[in-house]
Amino acid sequence: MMKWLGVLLILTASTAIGFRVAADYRKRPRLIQGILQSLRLLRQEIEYSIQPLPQALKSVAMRAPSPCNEWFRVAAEALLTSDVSVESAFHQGVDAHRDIDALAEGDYDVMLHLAEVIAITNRSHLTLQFDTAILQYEGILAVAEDKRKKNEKLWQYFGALGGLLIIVILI
Amino acid sequence: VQKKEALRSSSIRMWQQALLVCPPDIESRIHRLPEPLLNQMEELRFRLGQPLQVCGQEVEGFLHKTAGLTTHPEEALVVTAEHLARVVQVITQSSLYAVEDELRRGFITMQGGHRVGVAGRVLLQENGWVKTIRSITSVNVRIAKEHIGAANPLLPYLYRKLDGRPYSVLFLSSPQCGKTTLLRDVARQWSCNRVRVGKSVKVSIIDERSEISGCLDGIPQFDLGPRTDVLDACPKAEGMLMAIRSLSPDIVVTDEIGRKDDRDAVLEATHAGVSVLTTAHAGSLQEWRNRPFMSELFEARAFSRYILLSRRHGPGTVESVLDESGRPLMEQRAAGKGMDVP
Repeated sequence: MMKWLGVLLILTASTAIGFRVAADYRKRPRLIQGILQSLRLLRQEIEYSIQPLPQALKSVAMRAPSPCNEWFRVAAEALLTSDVSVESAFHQGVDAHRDIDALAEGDYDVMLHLAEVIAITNRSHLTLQFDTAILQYEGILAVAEDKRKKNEKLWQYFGALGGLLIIVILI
Repeated sequence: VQKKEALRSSSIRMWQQALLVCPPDIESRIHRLPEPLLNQMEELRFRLGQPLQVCGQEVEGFLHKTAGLTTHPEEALVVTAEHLARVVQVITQSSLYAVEDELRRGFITMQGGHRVGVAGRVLLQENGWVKTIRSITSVNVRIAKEHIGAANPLLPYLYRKLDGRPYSVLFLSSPQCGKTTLLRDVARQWSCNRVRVGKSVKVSIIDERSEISGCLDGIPQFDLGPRTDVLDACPKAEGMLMAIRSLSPDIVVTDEIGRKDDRDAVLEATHAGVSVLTTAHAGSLQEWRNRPFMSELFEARAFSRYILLSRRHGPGTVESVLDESGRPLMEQRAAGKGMDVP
């Protein structure tokens, strides 16, 4: 009886781990898509509405998909309420967002680079910066999508089969 | 006493607002300056690698490293790149792109109507016009002063006694004599129905440089009264015609006329039965008449009153009020004062 209970536990645990890793591969493109959408909204606020940055970020935070909007909400809050630079405000936003472990470290870098120049660049240069950032995120999204296709199913099977392998070895 | 107290508290409010742009170490030093000196402060000039200059009525000096003001640059607090970056960040709200149009004109209006002039490397468009200013190395924070009631002594000269119709008035002086401050107060007094009680007047302000209304995002930062419409950042001549066509004003207010287009717009307004309140840079009526296009306005009697100002007893000292043919109606008394005692 105990033996079968152990088998069940090992199988459930390894399958769960496999599904958890597969979920991260599935989630990452969705999150990058969210960042990309937020970036387009920010561009719209800056280029067409010519909103000052704190108000633009606030507006993006209201319209962007969750959980990316939290990034912009925290940055807007920091700019409106404290005496911080734009880079620090974006870093605070990223820190509030870092608990989403599906994103890789490099996924934040493009936006943080944009934060370094956004406050001191005129509109025509900012358009180029936005174009570059959007292209970079589209590249990141394509790679993430590829990885998802390759690894999502693999990890699901790997979890379950890995569990079975452990059971066979132990028995 | 009440008036003086109100003026004092208004003055404190104005410079406290302007000090928000200063980095914390500079702000705390300025806050420690004596209050009479703070009330006289008109400009804070930040120049990269140079001492911070404080200018104003009977005030001129550099902010000392420890406390107070000094006339010796070597004892003064030097403006660093970090100081300047912080000032630029505050005045642009971290958004240089949002103030590009203002930068093209060389200044940014901040909350409270304070005007921040900037200098640095100018970038040109292909047609040779100024595109923007980058690498900002100098910032001049001009503290706006709102003197409510400054125009009180002038009110009897501003309307026709017979029917109370507002006169077209031109304020003349060299720069920094309080033309715009008086113009703003006259506009407000008309709008508040205080020039001639019972005479309700609609006022349209064409504020090409956001100086009369101190607009921030189109919202006037000064009290302009309940019957005032503001066309912010609108070219004078075009704006005057737009206002006449669409806002049905009794008075059109604008600042610093001097070009051919301005002359045409003023004539258009006066022929349309709309009074014009405006200003021009000139030391005397004759100097103004000698300027191109302006003598035609005088000959057409476009203005019924000319008010000459100076800084003799402080900004806003009324030297004389002249009628449409240049005859004096009021002369400055020897003991007369400027705006500090409205």
